[in-house]
Amino acid sequence: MDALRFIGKRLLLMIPILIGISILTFAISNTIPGDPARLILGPKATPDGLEALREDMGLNDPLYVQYGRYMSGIGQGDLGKSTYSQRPVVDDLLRYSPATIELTMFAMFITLIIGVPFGVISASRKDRIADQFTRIFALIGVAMPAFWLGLLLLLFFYLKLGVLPGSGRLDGGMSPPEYVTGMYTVDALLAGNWSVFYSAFMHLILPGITLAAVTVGMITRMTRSSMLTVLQSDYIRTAFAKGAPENRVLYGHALRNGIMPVITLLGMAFGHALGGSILVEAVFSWPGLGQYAVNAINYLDFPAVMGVTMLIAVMFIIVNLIVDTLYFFIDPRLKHS
Amino acid sequence: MNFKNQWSKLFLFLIIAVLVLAGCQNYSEEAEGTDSPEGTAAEPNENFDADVFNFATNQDIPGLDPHGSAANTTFRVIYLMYDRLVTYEGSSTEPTPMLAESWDISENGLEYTFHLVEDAKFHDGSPVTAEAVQYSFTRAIDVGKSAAGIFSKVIDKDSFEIIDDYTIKITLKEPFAPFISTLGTAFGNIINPALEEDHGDDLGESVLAETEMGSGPYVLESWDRGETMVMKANPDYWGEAPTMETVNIRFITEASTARLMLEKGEIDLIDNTVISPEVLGQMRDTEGIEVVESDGYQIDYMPMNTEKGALADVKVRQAIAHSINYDALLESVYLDQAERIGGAVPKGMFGFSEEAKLYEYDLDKAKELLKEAGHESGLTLEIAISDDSEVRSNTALLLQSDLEKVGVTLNIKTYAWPTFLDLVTSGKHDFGLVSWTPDYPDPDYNLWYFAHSSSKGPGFNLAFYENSKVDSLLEEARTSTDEALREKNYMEIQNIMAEEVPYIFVAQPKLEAPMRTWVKGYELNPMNSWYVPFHKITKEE
Repeated sequence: MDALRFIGKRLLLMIPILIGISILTFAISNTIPGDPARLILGPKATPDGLEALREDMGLNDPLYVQYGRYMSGIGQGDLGKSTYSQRPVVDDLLRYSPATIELTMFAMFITLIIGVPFGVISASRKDRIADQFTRIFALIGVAMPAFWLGLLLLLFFYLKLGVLPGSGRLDGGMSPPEYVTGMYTVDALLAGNWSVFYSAFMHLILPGITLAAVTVGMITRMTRSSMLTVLQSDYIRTAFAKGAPENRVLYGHALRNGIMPVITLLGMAFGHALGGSILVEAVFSWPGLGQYAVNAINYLDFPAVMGVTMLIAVMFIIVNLIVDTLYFFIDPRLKHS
Repeated sequence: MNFKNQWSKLFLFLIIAVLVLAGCQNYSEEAEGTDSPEGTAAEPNENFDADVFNFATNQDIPGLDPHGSAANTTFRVIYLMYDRLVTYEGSSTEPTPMLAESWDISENGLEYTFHLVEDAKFHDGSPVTAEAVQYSFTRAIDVGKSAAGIFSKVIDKDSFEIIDDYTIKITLKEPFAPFISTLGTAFGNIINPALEEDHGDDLGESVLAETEMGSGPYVLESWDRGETMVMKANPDYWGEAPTMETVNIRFITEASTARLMLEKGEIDLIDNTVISPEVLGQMRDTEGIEVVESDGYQIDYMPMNTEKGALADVKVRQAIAHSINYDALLESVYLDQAERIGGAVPKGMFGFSEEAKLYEYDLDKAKELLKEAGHESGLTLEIAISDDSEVRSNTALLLQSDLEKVGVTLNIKTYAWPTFLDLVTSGKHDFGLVSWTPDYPDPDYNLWYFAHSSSKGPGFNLAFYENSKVDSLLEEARTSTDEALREKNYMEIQNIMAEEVPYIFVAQPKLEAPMRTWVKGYELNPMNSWYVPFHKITKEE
């Protein structure tokens, strides 16, 4: 019950946060000098045409009127029409966001399965060669620009070895699976189409690794330092003293207590990966939200910019809500307090 | 920390250093193409497919509406999905018959009668008739976007008279010499009038944002936004059958990635705007890759705001023109793949002026002119550039160091494109740097935009230049059908402008596009540099 009440409260809190974000984004994007109508029409436009389009787009109204109109649209599930693609922003988001979500989830998966074990190994072998190796590995991951790493991986695995594909989400000539979630790997599995699944998965690997490099580094370092503290506690010494197997002590006893700060950081890392995906998407021509957002900004496509910002904000809030909820299940003390 | 640990650290560091260096080494070998053992051209390339063409561009396609879009990436695909009354083929900039087999022009240059081919069919099987022609131009004007900017000067809803199914007469409001040329632009594409049923409240704009309704050699097969657009050859095409069965337009945002994919053979041709001149130089030597070159009608120029501060004084503008080391600029920024011109009409086009004065690089003359203008103690000016071109930012840097020598401090301000556009069209700049390519091969295009006083600011007269003599010469030339008179006027305009220097035409660059050597029959069009005749290209290994 406590958990439910907690979740309900957090969901309610989302509303003022989102309103705040919408006001900020709306204000900032509208203070960028530049005229969206002018960009749509180009230099060949007639002044009459320009004025008519401005009127049509509602650009002549005061800002608060434009904002009010936008918000009342949102209330009805209408995010407006993209001035760049001439399509409803909702359709565009449904088209572009699954690619980003799929990539980000995959990167988080890599982060979990590599980052946590590396951190544990690093802590349990403190100052030994395995520790040095993982620490350098983590440092490189955090320090290396994603852009550069992406290109290096492409050069090696795509151009030299030719074992992994270079760009996009599927092999050329392959048509995407029927739209269910928009995530090709999931949709291909649902449709039972193995060749599409294989292609989609192979295309995920390089961008996934590139995106995960930073977050793996973050998680490894956090797991290591958190585990180091836990490993010095009395109960761990006792466990070792009574002869419990090392892996059981490390992963059963120590990690359980050491994982709390790591989970908090995972929520942060998710946000980081969402932001980082813009660069990674560019290198791997991944048709996701990042690409869409960059286009939207270049064309002063305000409805699209607003849509992307709101969506990312919602995703970030939800992930952090999930993380906070996880505490209830991992840390029994919270249930009683 | 014990002894062993320090050694292991050192060891690890060395391994990493070696790996990184090895990576760099391999890359530059590959890039320079020195006898790399896995060179892709010598052995059969697994990615070769004679029926499928893979084209890479870094510009997404916003939509497919011929009347609503001004993006080159849109032009490229709709030029092949639709037909026009006339068209520009291959590397030619002369309009040739397409849907219009022939046409008659009345003596006074007002009435154009077009005779249409009778076997052209839209992709839904309906015939392309005079009604479709009328519908298309009327819609262009109603939509009121880019296409209207071209056509509404001379035609309106009442300009059309359908004589029979395949004959249409268009009467202009006033004579407009380049009219036939404008019909060959992507704005002149003929749309299936069946669209009228889906007009909705936006004249069918949201329909044409996603699909095509043309009669061209290719049909839209599928479109994954931001990833790939697939076009298939139209089996019922009324003209010559297209050579390439499938065309994939692939969006590769990052130039380096596109380059790798070309080296690998997964891409056949990269959009000519993607790769910088410097990298193209490196690619020239790669096995299996060829850089196609052509003269282009693009001009890179620097408007000087004649309505603002010191630049309002013609002496200052002349001084600036004298203080630029043009040869060094062409050599170091354009790697000699460009020429310098004196006027706004590119070399190779009707109306190009050999005589328009080219200012010499003469620092003493420049200093003297500045002194006469009362700026011997120096001057601080600003140049605005957009952040999307390496060539422009390098040009600005070079200008900065050149002007420094005559005591002019040049501050470079870099803006995102929308902000840049807003700044220069509202006249808040001193200098700007812009690239410009005409849509149709007539001097009226460039000169009207650059020099007519009605085009100031938003109309792209970015120098805010005003000269009543130039205005009347432009108006006379636009409405005259006398080629000799038009040419004389355009020469005179360019001479006046060379004297008053509202603009410095820095360079007319060559067009260059990297492609696989197995691509045959591709030539860049100097004007429509975005045009790739997929229906005429072949691939031969």
